[in-house]
Amino acid sequence: MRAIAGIEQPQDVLVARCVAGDDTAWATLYTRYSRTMAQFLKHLGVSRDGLDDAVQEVFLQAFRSLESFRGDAAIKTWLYRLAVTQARRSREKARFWGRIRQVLALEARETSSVQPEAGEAERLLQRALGQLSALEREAFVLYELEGQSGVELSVIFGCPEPTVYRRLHEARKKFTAFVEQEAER
Amino acid sequence: MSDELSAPERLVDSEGLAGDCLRRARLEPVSLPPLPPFVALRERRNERARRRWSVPMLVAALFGAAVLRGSGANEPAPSIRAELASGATNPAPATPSASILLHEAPASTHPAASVPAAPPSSPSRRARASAAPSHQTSAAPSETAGARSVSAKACAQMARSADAARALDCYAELARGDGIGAELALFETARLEGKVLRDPARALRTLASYRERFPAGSLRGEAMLAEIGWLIATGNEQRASELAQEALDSGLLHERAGELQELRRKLGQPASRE
Repeated sequence: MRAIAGIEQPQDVLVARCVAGDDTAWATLYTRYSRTMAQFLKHLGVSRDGLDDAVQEVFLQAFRSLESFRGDAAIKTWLYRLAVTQARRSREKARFWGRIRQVLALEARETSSVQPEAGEAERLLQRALGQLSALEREAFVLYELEGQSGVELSVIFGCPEPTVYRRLHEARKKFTAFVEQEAER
Repeated sequence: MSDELSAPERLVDSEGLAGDCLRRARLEPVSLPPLPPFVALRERRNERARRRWSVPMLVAALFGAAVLRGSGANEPAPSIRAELASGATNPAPATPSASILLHEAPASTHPAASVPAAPPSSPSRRARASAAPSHQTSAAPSETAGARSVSAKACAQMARSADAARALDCYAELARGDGIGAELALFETARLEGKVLRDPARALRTLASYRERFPAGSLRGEAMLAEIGWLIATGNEQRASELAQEALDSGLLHERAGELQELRRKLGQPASRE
């Protein structure tokens, strides 16, 4: 029913309503996935300062290109794909702002994605994720923390499954080694 | 057949320290900042839609103006090299709007002699001394002028190796083109002029030229910020404050809105500053 803002609607109906410009449907989409995307972007290393902006950018991109969404993957998978691109842009932007701050000698700002009051496990997780390359980190977070399958990862990255698995194996080795090394300290 | 080509077991479901780490991280409450409500997103979307229309309209208007003047097609692009070579304080405007833009930024038209202070991050005197005089001679048109054989990477390398004069020449060459390459070249030129040559007035002129050439450029937010910085360095706080407000109104630097507001507050309280 529309009275509950389409929360229970199936994906294709929701997408069709979004494409038709129904703001209630967009609000539903945003409410349903914004927090998941925020968490995902955070695990990809987007700074806390830039997180709300990055989430908005993901959905603005969705606004622009939802018509091209073919529906052969889950909308969540498609949003993950947009979020991966956005995370790369955010990292690029953070580097650029680093340079700007240098030029203008602005005070350094907190750019870490780890909150000071974050729990011990989250801090360790962020540090361990920091050991991975950008591509490994993206694949690892999607697979281990977001529960996406290898097939979905290959859709998100637009590459064959064996490539995804190679990345995952490599990420897994580095992640495990780091966590074990930390435990020995 | 390598195991690496098949799906690995999920660490989060496995025994061991790494699995524990992932499971504990998943169980901990996620510390996320408050996300903006949907209404904020909708406003931003509508704003972008308006902006998307404004760019083609601006292009059409500029094209129309050029056609009316009868010389639009043959108009040369503004040249940083020409400005540097002549040592002029005001670059020749390429379009009627250029002169308006330049007059809007009074500090950018004043010579560097009036500069009270350089930003704290300015480079060493040695770099300045070596860069400034050699720049005067190398600013003359070179035999490769017009060939556009330079790359942004090469220019950046020259800048890194403290060869400011050659880097400026290199960026001037790049700035003759268009697109993001030319935008970046102008931006970097301004940075070198301000930071290495310690000539904020010249940096401001270059940024004004950037503004005029790329009114909807990808780096205009960053250019605005740099302009604010150099305006403060030249003591033109009034204009810096106005530009900060302009940046806030434009929404281009919304992720820096807090800083810009703070800056405006500080500029509005000169007594509390040194």
